[in-house]
Formats: sequence, C-alpha cells, structure tokens
Amino acid sequence: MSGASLDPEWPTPEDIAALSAAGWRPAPIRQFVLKVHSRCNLACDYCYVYRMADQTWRDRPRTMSRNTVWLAADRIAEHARRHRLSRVIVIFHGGEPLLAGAAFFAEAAQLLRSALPPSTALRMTVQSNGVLLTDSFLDTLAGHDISVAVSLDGSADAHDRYRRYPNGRPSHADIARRLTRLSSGRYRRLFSGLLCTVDINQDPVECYEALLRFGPPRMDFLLPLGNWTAPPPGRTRDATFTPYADWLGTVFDRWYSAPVQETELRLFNEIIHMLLGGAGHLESLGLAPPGVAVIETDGSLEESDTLKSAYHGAAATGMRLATHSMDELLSHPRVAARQLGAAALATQCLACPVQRVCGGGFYPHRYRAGAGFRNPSVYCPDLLALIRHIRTRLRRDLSRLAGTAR
Amino acid sequence: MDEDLDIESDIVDLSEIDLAVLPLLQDSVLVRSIRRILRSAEHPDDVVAFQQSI
Repeated sequence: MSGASLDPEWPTPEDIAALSAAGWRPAPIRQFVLKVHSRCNLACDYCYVYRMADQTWRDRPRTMSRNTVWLAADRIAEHARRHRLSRVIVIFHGGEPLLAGAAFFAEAAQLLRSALPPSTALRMTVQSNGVLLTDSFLDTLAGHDISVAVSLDGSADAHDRYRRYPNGRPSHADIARRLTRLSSGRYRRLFSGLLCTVDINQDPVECYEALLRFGPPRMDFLLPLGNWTAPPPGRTRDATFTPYADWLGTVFDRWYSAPVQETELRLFNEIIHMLLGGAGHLESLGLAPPGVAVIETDGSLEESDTLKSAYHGAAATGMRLATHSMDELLSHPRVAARQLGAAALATQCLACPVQRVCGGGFYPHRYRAGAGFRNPSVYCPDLLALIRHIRTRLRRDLSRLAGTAR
Repeated sequence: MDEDLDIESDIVDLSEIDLAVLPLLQDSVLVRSIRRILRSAEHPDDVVAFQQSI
C-alpha cells in the first residue's frame, strides 16, 4: 500500500510555518534510536520491521557502519549543544542489535561519549531479544555502561507461540538462561527491564508472573501494532468489546494489589501519574511531545519505526545524517505532528473525558488508509475502559488518604 | 504538603493528602505513585520514552 496517495499530509509545511509564527516550537530530541543491525536472528510472527506493511529493511545495510555511527554521534552532540541538553538517551535497536557484535558496541559507546559536550550526560540502552547475551557480551556492555532491556512475551508456551528462530525452533529456553545471568550477580545493574507484547489468549496473571520470575526492575506491556485498516488481533469494531482493557485490567489488579510494589510497570505507572496530575512520559499516552529520532543503518533519519506498521515508507522523512540536522528533522511535518499534543487529535478525542491521559493513544494505532493519522486509536474502547478501571481503583484508595477524592 | 505544589489531578486534591502517614505505609504502588508525583513537581523530567524500549 502506498502512503503517498492515501495518507493526507497533515500538517502541511504551511501549517507548521503558521504554528511557528504563532510561537509553537518543537521539543528537542532527547532519545536517539540507532538501528545498528537491520536483520534478526528470530522470526517473530508479529514483527513490525519484517512482517507488516513496510519492507524498507530489504534495502538497508545489515550493520551500521563506523562512519554512520560517527555521523550520528556528531549530529547528537550538535543537537545537545544547541538545546543545552543535560542528558540524552541512545537506544541501540534493530532488527537484533547484538548481531552487530560486541566490538561494535564498544566503539559506538566511545564515539558517542567523545562527541558529546561534558555538560551532557549519556545514557545508553540496548533493546535485545536476549539470544546473544553471553557473559562475554555482557562484560563488554558493562564496560561501557550500556544497560540491557529484553523482549519476552510471558510464559514459555506463550512466548514460543510467536517468538521462534527462523527454523521454527522455540527461543524461550535460550532467552531464559541469558536472563538468569542478566538478572543476578555482577550483571544485575545492567538489567533495564522486560518488554512484552500483549497476547489476549495468554492468561494475564500467568504472563505477568512469568515475567516477574526474572526480577525485572521494570516491565511494560505493549499493545500489538495495528490500525483501523489492519486491526490488531481480537480488536473488532464493537466498541463495547474491550478484550485488551479486560486483559490489562486483570494484570493491573494483580500488580497494584501487591502489598509492596514488585516492579515498575510502565504503562500503569504512567496512567496513574497522569491521573494524579503529572505530565506524560511515554510516547503512547498523554499529550507531552515525544522527542525521538530513529537513525537507520544507512544513516537515514526517520520517525518512530513503529509507523512501519501503517504502510510502506511511513516512517521515512527523506532526510539523512550527512545532510540534515536533528532540528531539520523536527521541522518535518509528520515529525512535528507527533509533537502537537491536543492540536493533533481527532474531533472525537477532543471531546473525550480521558483525553489528557490517553492523548489519542499511540500514533501508529490511529492510522486509517485514506484518512491518515488524525483518528482516535483503534484501541479507543480499550484505552477508555482501562483508564476508567485504574481511575476507579485509585480514587477509592486515595479517598482513604485524602478524604477528598472526587 | 508543599503549598507551592501545583499539580492538578482529575481525581484527588493532592494538597489534602496527609504526607505524614506515607512513611508509615508499605511501599505499595499507590504510595510510590504519590511520592513520584510529589518528586515530579520539584524535579520535572522532560523525557518522553520511546515505547519500543524500556
């Protein structure tokens, strides 16, 4: 599917110019996603890089070159200086980033650190499937203070339903062995957390507790990528049917009811934080402007790569490290659209009572062929039900502390 | 509670929470969440996380 004819470009460059004239300024980019390897050693059924609408990976170099890392470091440093950023976050991503090899990470970390001004702290994380996390690799990551997050989809049965090697062999047992090393002893400090894609056919509490066995400091549940044109599994047009809210609500009750918090659960923590009046800190919720740049293995500058679930080329901007600054990326209309908060919402969202918390949901979930991204999330009924569920529970408990819960 | 704290919640008037009781409570999700919202008023964090990593 071509996005060029079906995705009305909103906002246009003229819209952005008008917004700028009225005083709007994009938030600087604070997170830089380096796609260091464009291939993967697993063949997960639902992968948005290889199995959905976009197929641009086929034309990318497998590994990010040293020169591209150097250019990325230079552009990140330029942006940090220009916006006086006290901290930037670099996320090594893929494909499977560890396929780039331990030496790549050692060199990339050195290049990034040496490029940044002393006033800018650098945090580095690698998001991996965990298969290649040997002690030797972990030693290299530890040596350069690169933390490690792993994708794991709950119990062995559930995980192995989707996350298999290309030859069909299940991967959970291998990853569990690696996670046991990562979560204990000298590597524990590197363990950033676990990411799990929701499968509503899996028992929610069993899934949560299977992840909890590895003692992650934090975890998150991701809604499967999908949109109005290609709906996620189990998400029908019936707005009274909320399978994802039901599933997540069950996990929430289990997590929230623990006498002592067992782990941070990002999705729920963020909803609670915003219900309490705080600002959002997750690109898939709330109205705070995400400042994320994705740098592909060939040096292309892109929007969040999850847009690849919408249509072929959806994340492309036509910009490259060699020729464009991060500020120029921020001026791209579709990048700017992600930063407009309520101004980018659909009419229905503007009238919604949970608008400030939901924020219209994750941007890729809003897509409809022929209408673009200015729609409610395809998960709208689930988001509404989940936020209400959490709000009810919070209000009840807060009333015991405050006596003024509304 | 800090009288300068300016956080508007949809569901509770945070200024009426008795902070003196928080240390007496277990380190539950709720208690941690209240501590976090109080911290955020003094130390705002501008990072909005990329969802595909944690």
